[in-house]
Amino acid sequence: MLIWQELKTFLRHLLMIAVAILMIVPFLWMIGTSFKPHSEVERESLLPEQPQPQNYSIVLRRAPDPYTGKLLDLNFPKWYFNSLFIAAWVTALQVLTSCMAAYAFARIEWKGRDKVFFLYLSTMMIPGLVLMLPNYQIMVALGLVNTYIGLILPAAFSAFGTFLMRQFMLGIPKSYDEAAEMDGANHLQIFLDVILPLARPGMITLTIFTFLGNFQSFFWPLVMIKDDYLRTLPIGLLSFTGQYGPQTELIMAATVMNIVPLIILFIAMQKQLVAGIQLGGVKG
Amino acid sequence: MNTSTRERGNRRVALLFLAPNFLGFCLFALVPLVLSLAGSFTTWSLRPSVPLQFIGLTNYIQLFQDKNFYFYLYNTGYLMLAMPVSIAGALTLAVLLNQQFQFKRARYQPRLALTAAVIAALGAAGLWLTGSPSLAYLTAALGLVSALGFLFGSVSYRTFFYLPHFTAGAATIILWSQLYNPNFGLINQVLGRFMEQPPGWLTSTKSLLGFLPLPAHFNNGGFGLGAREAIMIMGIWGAIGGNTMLLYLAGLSNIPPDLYEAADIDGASPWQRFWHITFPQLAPTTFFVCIMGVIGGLQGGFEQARLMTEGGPAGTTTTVSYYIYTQGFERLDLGYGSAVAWVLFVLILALTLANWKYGSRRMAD
Amino acid sequence: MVCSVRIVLGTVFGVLLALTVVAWWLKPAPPRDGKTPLVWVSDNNPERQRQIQAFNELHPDLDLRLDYGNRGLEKIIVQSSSGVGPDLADGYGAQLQTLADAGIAWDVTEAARAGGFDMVSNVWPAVWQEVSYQGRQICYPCNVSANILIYNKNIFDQFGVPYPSADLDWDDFIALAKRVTRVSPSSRDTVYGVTGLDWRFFFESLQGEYFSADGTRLLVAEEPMRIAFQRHQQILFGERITPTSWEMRTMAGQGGWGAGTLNLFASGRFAMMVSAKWVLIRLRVAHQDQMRRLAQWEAAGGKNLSTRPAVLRLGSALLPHAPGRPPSYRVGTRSVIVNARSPRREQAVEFLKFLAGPVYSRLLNEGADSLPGNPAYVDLGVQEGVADLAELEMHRTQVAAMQYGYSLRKSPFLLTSDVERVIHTQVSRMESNPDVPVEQLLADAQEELLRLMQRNLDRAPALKARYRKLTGTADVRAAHGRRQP
Repeated sequence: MLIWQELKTFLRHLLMIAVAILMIVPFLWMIGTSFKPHSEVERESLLPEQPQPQNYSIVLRRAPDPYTGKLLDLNFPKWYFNSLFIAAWVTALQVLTSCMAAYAFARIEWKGRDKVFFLYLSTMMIPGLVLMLPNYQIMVALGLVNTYIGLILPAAFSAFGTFLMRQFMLGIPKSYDEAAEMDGANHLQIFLDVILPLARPGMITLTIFTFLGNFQSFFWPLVMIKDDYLRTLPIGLLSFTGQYGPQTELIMAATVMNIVPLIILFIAMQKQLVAGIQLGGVKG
Repeated sequence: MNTSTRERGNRRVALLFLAPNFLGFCLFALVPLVLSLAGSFTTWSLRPSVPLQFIGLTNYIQLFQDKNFYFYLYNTGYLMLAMPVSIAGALTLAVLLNQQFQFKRARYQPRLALTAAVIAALGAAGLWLTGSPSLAYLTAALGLVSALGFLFGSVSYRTFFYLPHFTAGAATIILWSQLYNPNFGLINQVLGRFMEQPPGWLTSTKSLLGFLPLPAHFNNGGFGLGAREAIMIMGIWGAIGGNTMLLYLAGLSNIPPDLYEAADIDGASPWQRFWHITFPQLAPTTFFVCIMGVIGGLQGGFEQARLMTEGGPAGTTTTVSYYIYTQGFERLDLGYGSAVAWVLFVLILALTLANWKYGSRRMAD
Repeated sequence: MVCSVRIVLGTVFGVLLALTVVAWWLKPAPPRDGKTPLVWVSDNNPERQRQIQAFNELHPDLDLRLDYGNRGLEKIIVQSSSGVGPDLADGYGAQLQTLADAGIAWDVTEAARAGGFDMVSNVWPAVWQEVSYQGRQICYPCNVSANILIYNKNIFDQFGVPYPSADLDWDDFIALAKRVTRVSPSSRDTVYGVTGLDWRFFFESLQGEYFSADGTRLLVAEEPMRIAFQRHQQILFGERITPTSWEMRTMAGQGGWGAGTLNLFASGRFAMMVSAKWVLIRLRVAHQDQMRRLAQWEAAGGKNLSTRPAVLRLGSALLPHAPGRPPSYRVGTRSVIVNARSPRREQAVEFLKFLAGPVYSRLLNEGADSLPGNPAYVDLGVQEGVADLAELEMHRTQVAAMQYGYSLRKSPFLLTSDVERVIHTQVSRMESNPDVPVEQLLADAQEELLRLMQRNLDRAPALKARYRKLTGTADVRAAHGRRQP
C-alpha cells in the first residue's frame, strides 16, 4: 500500500520533471548561445564548439567587441541601474497611492464612493494605446520627455493596484478598525498601524506584479527615451545591432545577466508571493 | 457626533487619501482619454499640412468600411484562441502541483536526488564523449531539474514553470524569433527529423483554421502551422506557468478539505472529484482570469507584431493594437488611430459585460 | 513581523532618494569646450566615424556626433515633434517625403543656394525628384546609387557559363540565371542564379511610375506594374532562379543592414546579385577573411583541392533592359535632412555643405561606398582597390548606370510610403498564394490606395481644392474612372 503511494508520488515527480524540462529548453538554448561566437549562432547545436565567454565581458564593457576592436558604445550596467531605479520608484509610488486610494474605497464611507470606484475600474479596460499618444503630448507640454520623471510618473498610478488592494482590505474584519477607533485613533493612524500590516501579503503581491511589469515595459520607454544614459534594459537590448546585423550572442548574454538576479529574487520571495495570493483570494 | 458632520469629515479624509492616486488618474488616464475621444472626431494628425477640423463620424464610417479592419479583428480574435489553452494548462499545472510531492519515507528524497544527479552526470559524460554535446547538455539539465525536484518538491517545479514569465518581453521575442527560424531554428531542427517539410512558422500564412473559406483579402495560405500559431505557442509557453497558475494554486489551497473527504466516502473517482468539487470551487478564479484574459487579449499582439513579424506575413499577424500603432505613428493619422482604439474599447467593454453577466449567473448555481 | 509600517515606509523612500542622487550624479555632463554639439542619426557603418572626424576637423566650432540608437522613421518624427529630435537625420527614398510632410525636414532651398549645395547645380538630375518636396529642396544626398549587376566569377566558371554581358534583355537574363541555378536538398550545395531581383527591377526597366504627371492619378493597376508582378511570379514560381523574400529572410538569418544577403553571396550561395557598389564595404572584409583562410590552407600543405577555400572574384555589368527598350534604372539615395525644429539648424546646414564637397566625396570613394551626391566629384579618390573584387570596373559601371537613371514622381495627394506599403502587402500575398491572379492583386492595391487618397483629400480642404482644379472633381474614383479608355 505504501509502496503504491510512493510510486505514485514518484510518477508525479517524473511528470513534473518532463514539463519543467520542456519549459526551460528555450533558456538552455539561450545560455548556450550566450557563449557562442557570432559565426556559430545559427548552427544546430545548443552548445558552441569554440566557446567565447568573453561575450559577458563585452556586454559589461570590460572587453572589446571582436568586430570593431573597441569597447561597446553601449552602457549595459547603466541600463540595468535604470531599469531597477525606475521600476523601484514606480512600485513604491504605486503601492503607496494604491493602498491609500483602496483605503478610501474600502474603509471610509462617503457619498458616491462606489460610482467613482466603478469609474476607476472601467479605465482598466481602455487599450493602453488609446492613452499613449495623448499622454505623450502631455509629457511634451510638461517638458518631461527624455527624463526619469517622465518615465516614472505615468506608470505610478494604477487602477489595477487600487482594485487589488481594495479586495484585500475588504477581507480584513472591521473589528480591528473598531477597536482602534475606540482607542481614539484617526483614519491615518488606523491606516498605518492596523490596515497596512494586515494587508501586507496583498502589498507584497502588488509589489512583485508591479515591479516585474514595469521592469519589462517596452513601449512607453521606447517612445520616451532618446539618450543612452536613460535607456532601460528592453530598449537597450534592441541596440545590440552591430554593423553586420543584430548580435544575438551578446543579447543572450545580456538577457542571462538580466534574469539570474530575478530568479534569485523570486526564490527568496516565493513564500510571500503565494501566501499573498492565497490570503487575498479573488473574491468577486 | 451627528452623522452629517461625520460624513463630511469622512469625505474630506477620504479625498485626502484618494488625492495622489486620483490626481495621477486624472492627468494620465482621464484627460488623455477625453483627448483621444475628442480626437477621434477630428482630423488630428502629426502632419502640419492637415488642419485640425471637426469631421464628426467620418473616421468611424471609414473604419467600418475598411475591409482590412475586419481582417485585423479576425487576427486578434484568432490569437485569443490561445487563452482557453493557457487557462486550462495553468489549471492543470496548478492541480498537478498541488499534489503530494513529499515521500513518506523522507530519506528517499535526497537519495533519489543523488541517484538522478549521478545517472545524469554519467549519461552526459557518455554523450559528450561520443560526440553529441547538445544531448549531453540536455541530459545534464535534466539531471539538475530532477535533483532539485526531488529535493525541494513543488517549490522548485513552481520556479521552473514561472521562469518563462520572467524574461523581459523584448528578449523573449528575440529568443523565439531565433527558435522559429525555418532553417536554423531549434524547433525546425527537431521537427525536421520527423517531418519532410517542417512548418514555415513566422514565414507562413497558413493557420490551423486555414481550411475555412475566408475572404480573399485575409491572405489565407491554407491549413498548416504558420505565424499565428508561432505567436500563440510562444504566448502559451509564457502564460501557462505564470500568474494564472499561481492564482489557481492559491484558490486550490482555499478549498476546504472536508469536501474532498465527503467525496472519498462516496467513492468518487479523481475525475469526478475534479469536475464536481475542484472546478466549481475555483469558479471565482476562473471568472477573474477569463475577464482579465479577454481584456488583455483584445489589446494584445502588439509587441510580437512589432518585434517579430512587422505584422506579416501578408498582414496575418497584424492585430488591432498594431494597426492602431501603424496608423498613428507610421501614417501619422492620429484621429483615425484614436477611432480604431475607441472601437476596440467599446468591444472590450461589451465582451467584458457579457462575460460578467454569464459568469455571475454560472457562479450563482 | 513587528517592524512598524512607518519605519518601513521611511526606509524605502530614503533608499529611493539616495538612488535618485546617484542617478543624478551619473548623468553625463555636456562637454564644456564651447563647441556646438550636433547629433546625426544614421546607421552604424564604420565609415561614419571617418566622415564625422573629417567634418569636425573642418569645423572646429562644431562637434558632430553619431547617434545610431534612435534610427527609425517613426522615432525621428515623434522625437522631433516633441522637441528632442536630432539635428540631422538620414532618410531613404520615400521616407524623405514623409519627413517633409510631417514638417520635420527643413526647407533648405535658400541655404543651399547660399552654401553651394543646391539641387540644380550640385546634385545628379536623376534624383531631383527625391531630394525635393513640392518644388523645394529638403535634404542633400549622402550617396546615390542605381542598381547594377554584380556576379561571382567563380560560380560562372564552375558551371562553365560565360559571364553576363552588358546587353542582355529580360529573357536572355532569366535564361542565363537558370543556367547558374542549382537547387539541391542540402542548403550547402544550393546556388540560386540571382538575388535582389524582384518586381521593382522589371517595373523600373519599363520606367514605371506610381503617379500620373500631375500626381492626381494612381498608375498601380496599369501595364508596367502588371508586367512587373507577372514577371516576379515567373521568376519565383516558374523559373525558381531566386528565393522568395521570406525564404531570403530565413536564409539571411540575422538580417540587419543587408548583411545576411551579402554573407550568403560571399559564400557562394548566389551567382549574381542585383545591388550596388556599397556592397564592397562588406565584401572587402569577407574577401580578407577568405584570403586568410586560403593562406592557412596553403600553410597546412595545400594539397587537397576539394577543400581549397574559395576566394571571391567579382565582375559587374549594367542590369538588363526590357525587350525593345533602352535601359532604365531607378536611382535611390540616402540623404540627410536638417531638423526644422532644432535650435541649431543653421549650424547643422554646414554638414549638408560638407556632403556636397570634395573632402566627403573623396572619403566616400575611398571607402568604396556608393556614388557621392555631387556629380562633379564622382571620380575623386577612386582607387584600384582589391583586384579580385574588380572595384574600378564596378565604379565605372555604377557611373554608367546613372545616365539611364530616373527617380519616381511623387504626389502631393498620397505619400509614396503608403503606396509602397500597400504594394508590399500584395507582393507578400502573391508569394504566399501563387494562385491569385495578378490583376486581382493590383485591383485590390489600387482600391485601398484610392481609399487612402480620398481620405487625404477629405482631411485637407486646400488639397481637395487643388485636386478639383486639376481633375474637375473631388472624388478620386471618378477621376480615375473618367480617364480609362
